[in-house]
Amino acid sequence: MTSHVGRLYALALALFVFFLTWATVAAHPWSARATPRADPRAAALAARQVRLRHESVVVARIVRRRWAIYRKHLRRRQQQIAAVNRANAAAARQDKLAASAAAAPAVSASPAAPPSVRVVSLPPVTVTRTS
Amino acid sequence: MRDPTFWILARATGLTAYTLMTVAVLAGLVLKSRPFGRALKAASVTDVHRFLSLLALGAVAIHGAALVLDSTVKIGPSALLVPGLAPYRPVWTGFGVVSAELAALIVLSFSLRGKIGAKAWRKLHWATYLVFAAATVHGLGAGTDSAHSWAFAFYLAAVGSVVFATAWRALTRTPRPTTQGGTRVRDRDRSLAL
Repeated sequence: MTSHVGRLYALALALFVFFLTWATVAAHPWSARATPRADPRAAALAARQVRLRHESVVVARIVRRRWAIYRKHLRRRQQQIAAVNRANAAAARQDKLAASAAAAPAVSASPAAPPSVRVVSLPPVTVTRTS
Repeated sequence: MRDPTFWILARATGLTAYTLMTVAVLAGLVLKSRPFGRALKAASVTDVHRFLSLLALGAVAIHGAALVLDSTVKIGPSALLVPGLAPYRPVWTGFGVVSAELAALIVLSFSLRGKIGAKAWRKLHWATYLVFAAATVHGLGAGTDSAHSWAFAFYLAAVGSVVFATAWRALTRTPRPTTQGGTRVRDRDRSLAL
């Protein structure tokens, strides 16, 4: 028995599939090759840009890490210097106090006396001239 | 610049032929397993099955003619008949030639069923699986678009649907045709469904 409706559907399916595959093959709607080939120089530049951006991120990360380590060391060093300065200042103060303490009795034992004046009688000045 | 019309035509008709062949195989399997019950008349499905097979064969013919007319790959008319003569991927194109010739034989056997007998016709019809397998191998191996993911998905869907329908058919038990109101079902009507 001939099924005209069925044959019509089959023919419609065949035509639909044919035109669909034609469009797919000719236009490559989902293919990356469908896009026009980019200029190789532009592609190289784009690749370089990507590489540089990546490298800059890496370098920034390294710099940040080193800067953090440096700041930590600097803070520690500044604390050490401050401690040494404090110790030096304390030692200097101690030395000063000790020096002043040692000098104090000598000053009280010999007060500044006026220089002694001695009166002497010198012989009279005589001029002898022979002519 | 070279005109790609015949090249595109060859590729499009190849894919169309494969699609039509898949649908024809599915229609043949539907005949026996009857997944839609009595919603589809067996005679109508048989007619659509035959018509789809003819359309597929027509698409194959256009596919071959376009390949001969196109200058992208030098394929002579003899390469369409003898497997392995095509200079382009001879093994894979050979599968296509074998598949097309076997498909033509099976389609022709529809008309010669009365002469060769239902039993021989049914045995020959089993070769449809071979045709489908060879066409799939040909498409995957020689197809220009097989490298694309959409083409691979297309082949995968076709094979998957045929495997599924075959499994359905194998698992579905259908009672053997018996007498209807005292008259035996005609051999022609039952033998069309494998």
